[in-house]
Amino acid sequence: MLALRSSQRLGLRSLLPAVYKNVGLTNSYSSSSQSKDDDGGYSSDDEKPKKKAPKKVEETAAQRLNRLLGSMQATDQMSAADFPRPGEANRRRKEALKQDAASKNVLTAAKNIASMLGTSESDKKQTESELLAKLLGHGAAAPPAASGEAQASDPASGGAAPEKELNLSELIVGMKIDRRQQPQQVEQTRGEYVRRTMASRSKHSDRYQQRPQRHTKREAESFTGSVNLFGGEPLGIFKEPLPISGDILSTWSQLSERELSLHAAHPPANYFEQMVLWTEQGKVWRFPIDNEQDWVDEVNVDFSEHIFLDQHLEDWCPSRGPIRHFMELVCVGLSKNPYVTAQEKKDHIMWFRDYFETKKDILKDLMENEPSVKVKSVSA
Amino acid sequence: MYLSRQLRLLPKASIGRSITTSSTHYTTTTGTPATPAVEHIEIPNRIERSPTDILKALASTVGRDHTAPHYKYHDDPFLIPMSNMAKRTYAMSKEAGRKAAKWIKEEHRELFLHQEAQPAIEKFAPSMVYTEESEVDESSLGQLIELGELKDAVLVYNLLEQKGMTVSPELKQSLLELVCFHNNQDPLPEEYIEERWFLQNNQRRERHGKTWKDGDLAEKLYAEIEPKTPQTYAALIRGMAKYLQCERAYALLQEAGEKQIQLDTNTYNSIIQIISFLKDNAEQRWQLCTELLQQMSQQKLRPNLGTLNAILQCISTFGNFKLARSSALKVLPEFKQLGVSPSLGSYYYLLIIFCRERGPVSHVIVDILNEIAGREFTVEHPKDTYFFATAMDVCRNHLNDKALAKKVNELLHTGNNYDLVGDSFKESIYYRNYLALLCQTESIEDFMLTYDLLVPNIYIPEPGIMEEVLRTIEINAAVEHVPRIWSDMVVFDHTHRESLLLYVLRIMVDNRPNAETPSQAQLPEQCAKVALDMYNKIEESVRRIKKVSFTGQMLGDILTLLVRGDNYEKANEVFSHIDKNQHRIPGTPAESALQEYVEASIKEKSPSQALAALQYAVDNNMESSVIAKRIHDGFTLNETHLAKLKSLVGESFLEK
Repeated sequence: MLALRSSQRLGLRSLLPAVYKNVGLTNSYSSSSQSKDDDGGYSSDDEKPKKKAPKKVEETAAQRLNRLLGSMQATDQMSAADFPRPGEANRRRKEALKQDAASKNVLTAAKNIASMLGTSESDKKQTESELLAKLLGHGAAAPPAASGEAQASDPASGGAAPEKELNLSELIVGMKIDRRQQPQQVEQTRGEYVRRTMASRSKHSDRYQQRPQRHTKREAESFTGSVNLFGGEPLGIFKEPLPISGDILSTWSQLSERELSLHAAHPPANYFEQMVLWTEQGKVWRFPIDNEQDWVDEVNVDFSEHIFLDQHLEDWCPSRGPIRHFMELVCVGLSKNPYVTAQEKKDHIMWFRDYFETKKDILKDLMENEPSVKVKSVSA
Repeated sequence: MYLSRQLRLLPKASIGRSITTSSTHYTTTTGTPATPAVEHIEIPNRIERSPTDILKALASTVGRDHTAPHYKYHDDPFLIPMSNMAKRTYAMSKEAGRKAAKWIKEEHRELFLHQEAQPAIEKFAPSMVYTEESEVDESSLGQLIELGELKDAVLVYNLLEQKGMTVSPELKQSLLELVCFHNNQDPLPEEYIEERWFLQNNQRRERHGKTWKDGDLAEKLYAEIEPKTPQTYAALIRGMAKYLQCERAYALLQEAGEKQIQLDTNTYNSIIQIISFLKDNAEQRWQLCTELLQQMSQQKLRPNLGTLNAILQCISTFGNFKLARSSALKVLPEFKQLGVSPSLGSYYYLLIIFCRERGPVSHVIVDILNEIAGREFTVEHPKDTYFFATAMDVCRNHLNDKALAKKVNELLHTGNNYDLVGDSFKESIYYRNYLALLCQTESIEDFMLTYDLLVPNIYIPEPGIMEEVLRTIEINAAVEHVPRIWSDMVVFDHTHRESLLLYVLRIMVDNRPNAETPSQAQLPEQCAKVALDMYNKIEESVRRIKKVSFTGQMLGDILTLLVRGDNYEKANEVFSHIDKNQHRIPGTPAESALQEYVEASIKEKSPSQALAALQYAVDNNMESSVIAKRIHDGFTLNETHLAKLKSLVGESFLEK
């Protein structure tokens, strides 16, 4: 509180917009605790008991209860921490004016220096931001010195800020600690207690949303320097050269290899990777494309065996006549068929041989009845 | 005959040639000599290629397009997901489609029995179903084990048992290994690559407790195999160690040692990995670790990468920081002597050994990066995928060092190292840390370049990171980025976070754009649009589950921005909302907001609006004299208005 009112350096601090919020919150505490006697009217009747209470030194039980009720109602209705309170507006405005003036001064000063130093637009901006960052750093260091009490809460930010790179988020975190301590010094009354618990609860959730920041800075003296990873003293357990031995569990090692490759497997990122995946799953042809891929039964069969089928006729078929004619047509047809294997073609021809064999008698009869046609009988 | 051979060989040869000549990447022998006088032509040997080599070579020419969504999302431009939730949902629904297809295939197998393709594609045929009645023999069991089909293999084994058929000891051993490896639980099928990608390190959660099934099939199989071989012991020990039945695994190891059974390196590795569960403090753990290594040395077992990583894992559990450090530095040279080079997993363990939250700051990552910068890695150990996320975490939270983070990022994008980023969870941790670090340490312009590169196709910031980004913008007073960030927030579905909304408003209100600079001339209007959009979003959100409610401050900021953006009409609407619901809205708008609104009313010559604002200020116990004075000076008021003014602030004011 004292720091807020007195310090001129606060203006620097207020450059950090996050602090506005902080200031606002601190205000609300103060107004709730001690500033009830400030001027300014009340708009709601609910708050009247609360107004009277702090003035009276001795209080009856009924009044205490009254006050408690009043404060609880207020907190129920308005969960936000910055509920307007009497007199707050006036003060806030004054402070805002003060801060505004100071921050404007600093900003213009920084801008002027930047424009003197820098040549290009980006240079200027950078100098300006550096200057402001530096100023902010001092701003952070200053309040603990002024108020004294905050110093204990966060010595790291106070001491280290000027020489280390400025870490603004930590600055903000540090300030929150500052804020939390203050209410504890205020005189404790029941109503205050309830209100504060409610407020601190909302504040806690606020802290969570801001993501708990781990401390990023440590003391400078704990810097350990570089580590010689492989140059140290070895354990000295394995001295003699050892033979390379494989895994004794073949299935296990196969499974673990598969699992390992899955660790590095990503969803395919383009069509080629998709193709790789499909190839590995056996869903598409493998490169290089070869239309005899996966021909298991016909690998060693030459094309001639598919095409030249007359050889299978030689030892049984008559050299001329209708049967020969028929069989030659069968051979031509089969030689053009890509869908059956050579063995199947041969079997097909052999089936005809057996067929004609069984029908030999009928054929002979037929041919005798038709003497005009001079055909040699089938000779098996 | 001869002719056909020739024909068959021709295409293959020419393909081989064209690969070697066209892409220098693949040539291992030198090309033809430059001097044409020499007649001797050296034909390079044909290089055997796997079926996927050429595809992989082609895939490596396709880089990541930062402006395009991931390949899996681009089928339908309308459905390109823009938030983390949507990304996950869409990828998983695509996978669900695959699963549904598979289910149909299995359920209506009779429809898929015809095989059109020549040669037949086994993957498209319904899989074999083994039931109680199936005719099975040893060979089918062997096949199933080969394929890793755990459930079917166990079923077939049981069938064989029932029918009284003997199973050879080798097959039994294989089955034991399979059962131990998976703990008799069917693993996630390999083809569900998306599901694995989004699985979010379930394994890490599982690791905390014993999951080994005591007295289950594995132990029965183990009991059946007589005489016990080293393999039998090794399989059961590894299975128990993998599923954290630590005490019994260690007891088995000791039993094997008593019976003079020679185990192998990987079995010892599995025990070293679980030392932290066997012993309680660092000294005992280290003692047991060295004992086990001594045993390996006596049995002439050569340690491998797995041993190194297992030891480092054991060391990383030491509470004693100094002992951990010193022992790690002894282990590394030992393994260097043995010729075992560390994998990324080893470096991951080093990082967690050296960079502890409560320990002193360690710059070990600098040395690690010096060691491995520019190297390409392949996956060698399951923990290899943890390196990048952890390294970036160290860069941000331990050292807060931008330059290091850039180095790590460079390493990640070297060669195929991106494969080792892990899964979607680790990837997002990596980028979360990277972006948060950059936005703390880089200038806003540089940071926005990186932001544009990564967001939204590679990474979508979580609300926490968004807040960091907003904080950076606030610190740099870079209000010109706010409209863009706001549109991102809308797309990423962050608009129900009250803290973020307040932040955005605060930045826009606190940094009043300078209308004279041409780059900011558009800003007031844009800010007004953002504010209006936010107002509408919040009004809509009443119907949603995650609803955001107005606060006075929020509305005041919106009002200010609308006034600044010359959108007086909407400002009136917002003000009447404030005015009407003043008992429902917690808090009041800032006074400056009301003042600016009154100014605008003066400009627009609408005294009744200004008086309404004054009324509101008086009702809510705000500082009203300034507003009243402004109204009195700014307007020539008629009788009614004057009377109202008097009734609000009293006669005394006018006399001043």
